Amino acid sequence: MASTATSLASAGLKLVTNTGPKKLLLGKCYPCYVPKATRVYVKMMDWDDWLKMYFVRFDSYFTHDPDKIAKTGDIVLIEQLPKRLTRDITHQLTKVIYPMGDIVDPISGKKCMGGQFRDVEEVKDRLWGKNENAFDYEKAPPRGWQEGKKDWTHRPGQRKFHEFDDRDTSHMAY
Amino acid sequence: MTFMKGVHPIRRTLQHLNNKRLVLKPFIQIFQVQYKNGVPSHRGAADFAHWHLSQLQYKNPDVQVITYRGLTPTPFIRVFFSSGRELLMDVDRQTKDDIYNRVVTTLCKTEKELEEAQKKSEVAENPAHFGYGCKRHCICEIPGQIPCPAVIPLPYHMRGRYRFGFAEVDESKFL
Repeated sequence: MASTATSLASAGLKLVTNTGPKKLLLGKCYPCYVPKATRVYVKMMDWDDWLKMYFVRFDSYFTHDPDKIAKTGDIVLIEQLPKRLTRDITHQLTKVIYPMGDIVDPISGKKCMGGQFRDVEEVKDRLWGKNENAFDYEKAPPRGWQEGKKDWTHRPGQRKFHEFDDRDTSHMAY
Repeated sequence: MTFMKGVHPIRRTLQHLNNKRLVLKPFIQIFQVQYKNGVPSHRGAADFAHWHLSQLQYKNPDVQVITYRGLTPTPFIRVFFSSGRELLMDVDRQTKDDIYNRVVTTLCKTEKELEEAQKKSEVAENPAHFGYGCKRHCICEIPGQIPCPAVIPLPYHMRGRYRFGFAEVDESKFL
């Protein structure tokens, strides 16, 4: 939180706590090319008065995240800023609740994999016989080691509407 | 009852949705449920989400009510407060009614608080009000106002059909 305070201060805003009830939301992180920000998709429910039913709606928020603590796929807690930072950034990222691939069961504190505890999965693997090339959680590097090499989600995407034979050069080739 | 199709469409009736007890305390911002489908110990949490989550959202439109499925092997309810703190409820192997009672006693407004809130919103409380749900149905019942035209006809100069020439006053009646 200290870095958020200093980064907000550089923009002329103060991180003030206890300013009354804060609007908190839980959402999932999506790729975002805006620097120092994370795009969060929040699942909201729309009420239909005739059918008396709720329908899903996704609200997209650009959240202030200077240290990039959240990665794509993480479920995070965001908080509304007292005043919007830029035209797009209206919220700040408070905490990563369920990081993707590294979910921790809040009750037991144990790491989970595919809806089951990792140690339970290990016992299963041992009984069936574990493959040598299988993914090893302890030896695997932290998430994000392919960024810049094969993961390009931090760069704005390219949208190609038509393939021009005279213009599209060979750098598009694989 | 509209749209009577699907599993338990009674959940889509106002009678079912107007569960007065499931009004959350004002400092609650997010109500998150997590469970897995098909696991017997998660059955209570799944049933609670099936029956009561729509009621909860209906009575608390400003709270974000979300469900996550298949994250962890233990079902839980996680509530986030506006202060930044959170509350965690382990609902493993509990029935839907146990979870419902637990949520009502810990997170919802008490009967007293609900009564007080209802009294404030009640229109009939103000004796000066009249209309639907009030002690006096129409302005004609209020002393000092024109009596009900169904009982005593209005004078000719107040009746549109005589004012705008659609009917003429038959003066022979007054002779």
